[in-house]
Amino acid sequence: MPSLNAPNEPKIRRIFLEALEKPTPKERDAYLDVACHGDVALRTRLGVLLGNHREDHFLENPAVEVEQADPNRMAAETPGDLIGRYQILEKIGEGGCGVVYMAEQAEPVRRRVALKVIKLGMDTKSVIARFEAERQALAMMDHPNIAKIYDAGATEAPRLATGLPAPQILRQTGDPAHEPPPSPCPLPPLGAGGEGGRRPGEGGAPVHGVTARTLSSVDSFPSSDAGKGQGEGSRSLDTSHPPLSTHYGRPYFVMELVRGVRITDYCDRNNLSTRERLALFTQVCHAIQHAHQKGIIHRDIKPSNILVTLHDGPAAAGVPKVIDFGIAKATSDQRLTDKTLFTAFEQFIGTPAYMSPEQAGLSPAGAADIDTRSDIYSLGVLLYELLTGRTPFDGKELLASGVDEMRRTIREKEPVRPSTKLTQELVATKRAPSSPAAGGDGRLPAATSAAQAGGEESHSVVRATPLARSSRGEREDPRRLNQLQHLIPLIRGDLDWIVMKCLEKDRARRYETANGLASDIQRHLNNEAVLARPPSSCYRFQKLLRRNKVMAGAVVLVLTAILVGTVISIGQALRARTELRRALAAEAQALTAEAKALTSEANAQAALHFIQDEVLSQASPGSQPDRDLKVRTLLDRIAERLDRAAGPPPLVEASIRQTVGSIYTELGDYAKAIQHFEQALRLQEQHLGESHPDTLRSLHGLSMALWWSGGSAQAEPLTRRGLDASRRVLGEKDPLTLQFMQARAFTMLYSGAVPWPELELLFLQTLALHRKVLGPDHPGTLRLIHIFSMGYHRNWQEVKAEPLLVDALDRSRRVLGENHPQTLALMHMLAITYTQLNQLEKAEPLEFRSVELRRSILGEEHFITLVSVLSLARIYLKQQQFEKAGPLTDQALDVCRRLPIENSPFLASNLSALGWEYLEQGHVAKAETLCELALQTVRRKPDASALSNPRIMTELGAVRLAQRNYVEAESLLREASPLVEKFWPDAAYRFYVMSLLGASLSGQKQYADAEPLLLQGCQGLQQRQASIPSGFRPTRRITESLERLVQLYDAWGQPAQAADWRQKLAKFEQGAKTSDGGSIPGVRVTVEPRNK
Amino acid sequence: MSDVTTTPDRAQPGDPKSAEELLPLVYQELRNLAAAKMARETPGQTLQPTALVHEAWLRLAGNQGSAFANRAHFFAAAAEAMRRILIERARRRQVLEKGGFAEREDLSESKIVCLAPTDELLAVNDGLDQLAAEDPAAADLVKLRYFVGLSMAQAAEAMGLPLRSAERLWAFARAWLRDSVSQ
Repeated sequence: MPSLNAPNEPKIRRIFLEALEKPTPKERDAYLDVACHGDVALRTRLGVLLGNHREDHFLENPAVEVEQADPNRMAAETPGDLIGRYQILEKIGEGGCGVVYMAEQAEPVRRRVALKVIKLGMDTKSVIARFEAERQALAMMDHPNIAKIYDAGATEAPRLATGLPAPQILRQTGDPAHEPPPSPCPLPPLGAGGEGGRRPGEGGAPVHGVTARTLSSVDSFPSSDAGKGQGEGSRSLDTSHPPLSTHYGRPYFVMELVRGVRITDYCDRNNLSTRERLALFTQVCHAIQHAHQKGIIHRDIKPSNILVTLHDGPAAAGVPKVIDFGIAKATSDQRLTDKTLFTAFEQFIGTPAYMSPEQAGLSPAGAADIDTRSDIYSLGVLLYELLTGRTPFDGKELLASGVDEMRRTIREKEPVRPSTKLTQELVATKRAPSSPAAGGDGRLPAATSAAQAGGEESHSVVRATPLARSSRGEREDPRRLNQLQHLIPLIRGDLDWIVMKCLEKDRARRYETANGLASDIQRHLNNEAVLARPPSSCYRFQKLLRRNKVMAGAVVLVLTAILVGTVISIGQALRARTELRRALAAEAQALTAEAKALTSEANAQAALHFIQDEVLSQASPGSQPDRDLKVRTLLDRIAERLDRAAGPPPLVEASIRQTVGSIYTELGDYAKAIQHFEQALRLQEQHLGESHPDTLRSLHGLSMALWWSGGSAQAEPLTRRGLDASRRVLGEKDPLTLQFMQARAFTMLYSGAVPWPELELLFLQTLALHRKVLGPDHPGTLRLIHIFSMGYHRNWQEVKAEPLLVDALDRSRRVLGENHPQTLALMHMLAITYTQLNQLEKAEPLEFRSVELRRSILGEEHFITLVSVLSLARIYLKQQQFEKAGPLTDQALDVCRRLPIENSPFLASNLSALGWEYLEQGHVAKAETLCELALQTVRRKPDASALSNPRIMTELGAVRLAQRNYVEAESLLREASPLVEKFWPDAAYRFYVMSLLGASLSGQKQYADAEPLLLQGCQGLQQRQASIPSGFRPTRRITESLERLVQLYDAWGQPAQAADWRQKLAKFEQGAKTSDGGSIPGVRVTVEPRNK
Repeated sequence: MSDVTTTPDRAQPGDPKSAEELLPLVYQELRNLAAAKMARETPGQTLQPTALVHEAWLRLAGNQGSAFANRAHFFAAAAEAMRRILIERARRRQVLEKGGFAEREDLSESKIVCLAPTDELLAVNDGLDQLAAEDPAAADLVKLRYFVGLSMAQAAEAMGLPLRSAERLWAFARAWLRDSVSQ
């Protein structure tokens, strides 16, 4: 039983609702003052809430799909009604978008027009505004295949209010005396609020209650303190709200009246052959081209927007007319989020089948990112449908799959080629039980005979019936079988390629212009090579052959020559045939390249393995310390040779550069690696296309080299692009796809854009996939674990990394060998992990070995070697073996000052970490040197590794604190704080930084500001004590945070508080005596600075 | 003066179970039901949360109806369950989306079409927690309307409220949530 008593009702709601009942703002204010009883907070809160009360769509649309109860609620205009200056004559169409009427315009010219009234749910005001913005451009379009668009406006629709429950709510509660005056409220006539060029007096007298008017803006709900209740105050409150946008009426568009049928229907009804369909389609392309040249994008190309006018007599060719220009932009641009996108589909587009990936992927921010190539995509879908009777993706299925899935399909799923679609249908048709009693031939004799008599040129497509029919269990039309068998070879090849080029997900790969598309169709019709086709030599030969039968013999010759690999001699052999020579040479070259490309990947892999396994790992310490120089010399020499003028064929060059780039990456020479990968990528994109696996391999190499060199931000889009392409071309589980997945995870790790818990999930998923597809021993899997553990390290979860690393290191040693770069990387990571876990006895031998090996393989001054050196120094420092730590540190510092270390973000964080350890040991000067150097690096390249920056700032901040340089400490810590908070909202480190910041304020005598920071910092650290890695010395962190509080209250002159915290400190130290092996008794730098 | 009710009696004498406690039961029931429905429907079919919740009530009212103090009690739990289903899924998708990873989802509840942009969904969700602390009835109404898709009349009926009370409650909830969602 519902309880209707007021007692449980929250006070704020009670007052809110009561206030709403007050007829005027003045009364409402008076009521609020009394009801709030001087409670200022409550009064303010209510002011805000009442200000928030207005009628609009907010929350009115459920998050979930709801069955439409009654879609036909919309009021319809009837013949005779006047909309604006247009008199309705008859309804000529109704679609998802709205109703189309034939109407008559009296002034300034008497003419018949088509008037399209958009259905409910639009923000009329902005629709009109957007239309006005494009009006001039629209007026400039003048093309026989484009229906002119004349005007737009808004109906007034008081009657529509009946369909809308929301605004009625408060009226029901109101006093009858406050009933709103009958709508429509008087508003200026059309044109009064718009530009001056409009004709006067267009508003006209209402006819059947339907008048037109402009859309003046209405003030929003007067806030309670505005107190200007005059004009509106006499009405009840709800009517003073801006009404639902639909109260302004619905937008309508006036355009040239086109009497025709949609293009697909026209083709089918008239049994047009493929050739005729293409001719018709070409006209549409030219119309779209015209619009594009005027700067107008249609945005909603689909059969129902391309009508073919009907002429009497079968001989006359129909003229296609593109209608609705400008409407899609005006109506669908608003807040293209999922919801409106969905609404847009249902109401305005009817089907998402024609929507380009960039339209489907629209984010609210990306609304401006639609260009003419979106139309090219839609044209491609239209062509697809004209050829096969079906769209690439089924519109109904798309809608049924839900928004997310729909967007994913449009953006990622590769449609099957038109000929494949037909083949699928053919298979399905054949499989379907055909009944002799179907009588298909009997019922459709004309069509059958046409198909037979027309031969190759008469292959009409019967639209979208066969599959639908067979799925409904009806009998198959044998006529269709016949058609399909004719159609498939016609469409396979050129037309497939042309359509697929339009449907490229990456719009840069579509036709540049609609004319380009039309020209390619023309080329196909002329038996010329189409641009859409990838430059496959086999295909070009086919084309050549078709043009010139004499070539047949030459082809065999060339092919043989290719196999032997002597291209030039072939050119010579054919010299006699001058008219063919040039063409053939080009073909031959393409063929050679392709033949080589087939083996290029194997070559590259073999070369890489050779150098990695045979050269790099042969270098054992002591035997040949300069081995790495030789490898590099070799590489440099290869690079030099490639740069010389007469290099190898482009794809071979690309393959070599790819290999060289990979080795440079392994050697840590990222600048050179990037250079080679970029050149390889350029060549491969040019000759193989963007989605070729070889191209993608270079892309991957490039993105990884960029990432390692601190170019995370540059690498990120490349990894995304690569992942999309690889997934599309090679599939979800291809090793290359996995590599890109990895690369994506890497770039995200250091950008800090994704919170770690989510990223960890991604890593785990990716790792599972790697193990499953590549196996646990695969170098790719091992590298993933390496980077994954870096993520754990950056987030103080070394505990989780340790078992992963132990296992991976074991495998890497076994599979790749002790000296392999990957093994060394894992060795170093495990050493770091043990250091953080304070298991120094395990960390030391590992890092010692990694330093030894890296020195011998990469050289003393290589920054990867330096990373290991710095880490080893830190271990010694923690072990208080200063005599070992010192020289290592000095040596590393020396090198770092000479190297461009900003190119290695990892070096900076290692420098800083060592500096912080020096600080912990009381060596403030050394700490300062190291931390300053690290911060300089970060300042030079702040994007390199966003995740490292706040720690480096904090570490130098801690040094400054120890130096009693409170001002600079504060500034550094303030800079670090928001980042720390963002990256590690719940980590103990956040509270460590908080406490440090508090101390910096306390040092500047800003006690009141310091107090909350110190308190919260101390509390946060204590609560998270268990999660702090022992290498970070949890006991000491808490102790110092308590000490800072004691100091604060001492300095602030609050002895009682100080004593209290002293007691807490003593109690904590008592309890912590045993634990925290990392703490060093007697060394307290944070409190007792030695320098300055 | 006010006729807007508060939360329908959640704790009836002799029935200590709160909506919160019943949540797992309802959650599971909704998911089972979704799976069962999907097994029968053709692929591509979507599920209507409104229908789902009503059907769940019919089933539970027969079997375990006694666990619920009343119909309103059940609907509060069901709306909460639906909200969690949607939010969990939105969060999961968001994580995967960020990584550029396609989601492989076989759960039947994925057939519930979520029209709201993820940002809005999560913002409403966050705002609701705060609203629930201040005015649980208002929050329940939002859940029913927003996450289950009930019309005002249906929601009023589900909560056992007169239509007019529900409308007033709705006006309050919208004003309350507007700030947190539109930020």
